[in-house]
Amino acid sequence: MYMGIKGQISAEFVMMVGFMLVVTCAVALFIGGVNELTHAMAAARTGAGEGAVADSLAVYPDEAYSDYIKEHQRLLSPSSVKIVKIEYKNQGLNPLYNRTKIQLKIYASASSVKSADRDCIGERINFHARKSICETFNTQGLTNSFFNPAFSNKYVFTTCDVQWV
Amino acid sequence: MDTRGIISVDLLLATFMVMVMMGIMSFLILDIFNMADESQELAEARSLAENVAGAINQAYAGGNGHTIKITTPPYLNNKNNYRVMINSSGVLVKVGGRSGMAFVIPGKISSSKSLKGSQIILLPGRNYVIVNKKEDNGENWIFIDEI
Repeated sequence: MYMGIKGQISAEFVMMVGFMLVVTCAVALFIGGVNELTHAMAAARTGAGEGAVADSLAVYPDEAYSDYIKEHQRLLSPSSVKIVKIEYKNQGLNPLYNRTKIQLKIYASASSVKSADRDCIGERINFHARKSICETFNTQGLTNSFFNPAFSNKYVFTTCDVQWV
Repeated sequence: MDTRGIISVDLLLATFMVMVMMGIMSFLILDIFNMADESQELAEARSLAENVAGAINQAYAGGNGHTIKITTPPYLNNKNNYRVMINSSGVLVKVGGRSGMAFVIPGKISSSKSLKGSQIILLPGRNYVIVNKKEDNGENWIFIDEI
């Protein structure tokens, strides 16, 4: 049988490629699950930061601004709001949504704002965190106008009250 | 075996890993860019409100005849549909469905030469003059007009 001297691959190479494919698929499946949670947490951090910036600069959506003129005038002036950290708690599979439920807890500081006004600030931070998750995974249509809960493909996210430190 | 056109399995694996990492990083970076863009809009709105409020306060403090010229920026974060509304309590900047207020020294503000109280709206890319005027009865007004 004629055998050319070019264009040949060894049996070892074929086996190696096959093995690599299997390993790659297994790793990709694992990374996919972990990666989704990483993406969601990154989105939550970005959103929380966005909320904190809005609170710091005291530039709000028109409806919130109208509310604050009546009840929380202190919030109309800039204040220092910082996100300290974000933690999450895996609460297991939620049968209602058939997704793993994750509860986010955001730690923030706003030393110049009194506690009644902090609630408003905290709500905005949580709102932006959930909104950012929905926008990242393009799931705005699955949730309500408060983005509560926020969905990714495998997870459902809720937020508890912001912890002030 | 040809000596050219050979790539090792290591290189293939490394390339694959780099591509996966770049994919992950691109999502994170995109999020951060979006956040920076929104933050810039808020910061520019706040800055404009404070600048106008500062100019009004300076005109108040300067006394009768004190004049300050201001120019509103043509764009706030590439948007030219913002509005600056001024009344006796403060300067309100509205852009992209958001509002931010900067307070001024409470006083009488007008855009009419007859010095009657009114809400004044500043438009993008225009020049305005802020003048401290004293009325016959001794009251000081802040008069704002486009130039």
